Amino acid sequence: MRNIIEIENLTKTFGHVTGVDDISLNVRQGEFVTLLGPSGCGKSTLLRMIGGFEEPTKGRIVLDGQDVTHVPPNKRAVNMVFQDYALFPHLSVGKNVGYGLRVAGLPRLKVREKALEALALVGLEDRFDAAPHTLSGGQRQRVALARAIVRRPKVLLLDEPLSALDANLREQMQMELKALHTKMGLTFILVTHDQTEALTMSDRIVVMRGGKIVQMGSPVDLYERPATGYVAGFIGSTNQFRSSVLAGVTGPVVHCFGQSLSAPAGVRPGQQALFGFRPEKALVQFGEDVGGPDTLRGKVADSLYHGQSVRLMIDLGAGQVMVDLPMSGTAALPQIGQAVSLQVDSDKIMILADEVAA
Amino acid sequence: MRRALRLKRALVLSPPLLWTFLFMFVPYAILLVYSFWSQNYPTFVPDFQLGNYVLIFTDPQYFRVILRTLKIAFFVSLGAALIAYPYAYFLVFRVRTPSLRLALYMAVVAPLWVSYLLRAYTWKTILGTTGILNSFLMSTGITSEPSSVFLYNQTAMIVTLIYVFIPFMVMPIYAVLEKIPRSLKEASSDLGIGRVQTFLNVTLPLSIPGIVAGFTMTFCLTFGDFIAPFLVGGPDGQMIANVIASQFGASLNWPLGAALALIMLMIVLSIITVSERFERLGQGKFA
Repeated sequence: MRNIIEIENLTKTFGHVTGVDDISLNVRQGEFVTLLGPSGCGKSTLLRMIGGFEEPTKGRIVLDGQDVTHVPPNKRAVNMVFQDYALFPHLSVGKNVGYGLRVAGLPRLKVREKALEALALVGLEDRFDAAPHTLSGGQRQRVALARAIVRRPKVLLLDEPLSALDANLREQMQMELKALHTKMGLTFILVTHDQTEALTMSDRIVVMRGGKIVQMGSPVDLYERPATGYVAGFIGSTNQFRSSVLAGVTGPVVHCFGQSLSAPAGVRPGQQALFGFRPEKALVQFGEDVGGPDTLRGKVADSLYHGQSVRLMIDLGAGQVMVDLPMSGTAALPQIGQAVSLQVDSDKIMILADEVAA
Repeated sequence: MRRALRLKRALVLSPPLLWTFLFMFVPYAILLVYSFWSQNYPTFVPDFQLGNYVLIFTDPQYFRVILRTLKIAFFVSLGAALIAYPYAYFLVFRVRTPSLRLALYMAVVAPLWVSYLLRAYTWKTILGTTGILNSFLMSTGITSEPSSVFLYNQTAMIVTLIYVFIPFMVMPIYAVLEKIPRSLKEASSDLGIGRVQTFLNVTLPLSIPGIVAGFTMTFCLTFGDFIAPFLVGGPDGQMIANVIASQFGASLNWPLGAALALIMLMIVLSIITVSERFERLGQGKFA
């Protein structure tokens, strides 16, 4: 697939503060890309520069082969769904959706037809004449979406579009957005600080921090092979530990809070690195002397019941790790203080790069 | 329990109600009674007749004064709006520094703390024959003699009243512009619309309640003004309030003055009612 957006060495500074720091990124036609990071990481600034609302300090933005770095928003074939929806309060739903076309001088009937078509895509064609303030949050969100796709933009930008919705509605909208993306074949660039949102919807996630890209890849890539401790901690939870690699009887080993585990492939004795494993990747067994090699032994320090699983905090003596225990069947909840063993196979251990100071 | 609550409510509400009753309704009632009395120069006697009202609606001089007052109030409001809107727009959307914005806002509002009389009087010294305008024109050689055309006419009154009442136009327009979310202008631009069309289709319609509020205040304040005609108005500059004042003064015709005052009150009340309807149209939309 060809690139619809090419971003080259883009930088934005506000006074002495650098919002976006020398970012280069290509987005392919039809891709669903998510910019993920905590607030202040520069993701919104990057999105706003693509939309034309911020002037880049340095660098280039190429949209569909055309340099648009200094082109104002009204001359760019991209559209944005704003965080606060930005619906025009003095116009009806239909007039909001048709606004751009109507003011640009398209014939009245044509505008109506296109607005209805866009509203039908989000299931709101029957609210054409309603005033925005009579709609629910989820409906306003859909109107904003319809308004942004009515002109068939080359790229649809979404600035934390779901952050104002409650949890159930958010999940539903995630599915609808994904379906809309598939149906329309448009390129989506979404900004969020919600890792679940990023994981469920994106083809590719770009993790940002301090105005820079830390890592990008598919959701599975980022979850299974996070490059740094930061990514591992931001997407899902990870038990992290720093250890030297030592030569053991059956091969190299690492130490997790004083207990040894077989080292993952790719490290040699003498090396020192940051390691980690996901809470759901450890095999949990209860009892004093259960489990074979590659097992951490400890006691249950705390448990958080999640319904489908229980998150256990395990005290290893020198530190704590967390593990998830699936609650299939009618197993009794583990007791605090109960002895437990955690089998962590070497292929479950991730090697995490040291953070570049950000 | 309930009785105690009712007593408390009565105690809280009675001072303002009493105040309003004593100093609003009683005077209006007295005016109403007076307006039916008849004049018997140099005094006036209790009576019940509509002669004063008939006179106002049949004698063209009163009608003309009311019409002139409406005209001047309209031009003052229009002028104030045309100056205040761009100014408020500039403050809200162009001035980036909050402290500078506040300073420029206060520059317009602060004169309200200065005596109204003084502010109106200022224009006498600007427009008069020995005033600043004339000495400027003479020093630059545009005119050779001081001109008296600037002062003592309706234009001078309109200019003075625009200056005096412009804070009442700037304040509501500023407030309403400030309330418009920035993202609305961005959304308009995002949808392919340029600056001028964005202003006409988004910013202007959303600021109408502020314009209406400012227009109403300026209009009503001007409508009741009698200082400006007195200071800078000419022989054709009498406004309705001056006529009323003279009925209670030199002409010693309180009944006619009372009738005029009530008609003026009715006009102002109808303007306020209409404008309130307008404002309500723009309410509850930013939810």
